[in-house]
Amino acid sequence: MFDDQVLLRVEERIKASNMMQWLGLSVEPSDQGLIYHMGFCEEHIGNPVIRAIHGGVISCFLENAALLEALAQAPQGTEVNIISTHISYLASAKAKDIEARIATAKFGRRMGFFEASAFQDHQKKPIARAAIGIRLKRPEEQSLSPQT
Amino acid sequence: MTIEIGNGLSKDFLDTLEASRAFLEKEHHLIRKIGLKTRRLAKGEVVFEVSLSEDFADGDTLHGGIFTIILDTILAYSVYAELNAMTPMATINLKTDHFAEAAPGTNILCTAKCDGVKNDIAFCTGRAIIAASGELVASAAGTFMINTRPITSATRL
Repeated sequence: MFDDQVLLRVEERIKASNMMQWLGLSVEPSDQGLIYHMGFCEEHIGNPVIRAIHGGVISCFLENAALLEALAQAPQGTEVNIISTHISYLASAKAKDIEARIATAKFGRRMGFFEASAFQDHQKKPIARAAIGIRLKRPEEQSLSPQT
Repeated sequence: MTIEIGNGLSKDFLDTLEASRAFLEKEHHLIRKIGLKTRRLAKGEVVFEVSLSEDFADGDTLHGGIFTIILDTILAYSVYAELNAMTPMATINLKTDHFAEAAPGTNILCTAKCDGVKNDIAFCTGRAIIAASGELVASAAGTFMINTRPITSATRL
């Protein structure tokens, strides 16, 4: 089971971010960890001809899911910032909700490396995969070197 | 403000692009919300200016993810400008790096260049910088498959 305090921290982070609100981001605990959802809205559409979700919106969603995953794993008070994202688009995303699962490649002292997968209809057929690097600034580092 | 038009673009393409821009600004929810303003068009190169609202903020600064969305969009425009045609295309992959933070309302210049096309694959790079200071906010490199058909199945490539 997931720690309720961690889930609360993640949900508070979503509430505090206009961007995450615009994405329609929500999180659900499961036996395999947190599952992230992006609720569809018309502003997410990139190609109105085939009504496909914009690739940049999908990348942004996976970045945010990885950021929340980092927040969930880090000690309380840790600052998390996205450094880079490399996404591959495997199938067009239909005009409907997207689910994301995050695997941790490495959770180090200063950096976290995550592999994000986005799904719509089939759990075995991701529509996109991304490798995401996140800077972790733990409370003790913030007090030692506030400028770095 | 006028749009600077560089060399190498046909009148037919510019007319098509203008019609597309007018359609997108009126009918496309995402493009309308972001509010990209065209500043320069040339063969394989585009420059847009944008001032983003607090809707895309994460705390006091703009969320880096909005620049992923913008750069993905304008990299595709640089391919149109390279080909002199608004051909259907799909992003294959996109790498975005995030640098400085910017506050909502800051004027941001977003540039994209199509570095080359090999067969049906286009390679592009782009940057978002703060207009006043030139400080780099985000950069991106992407590849696109061109001449994809607007099909309805889930197959993208």
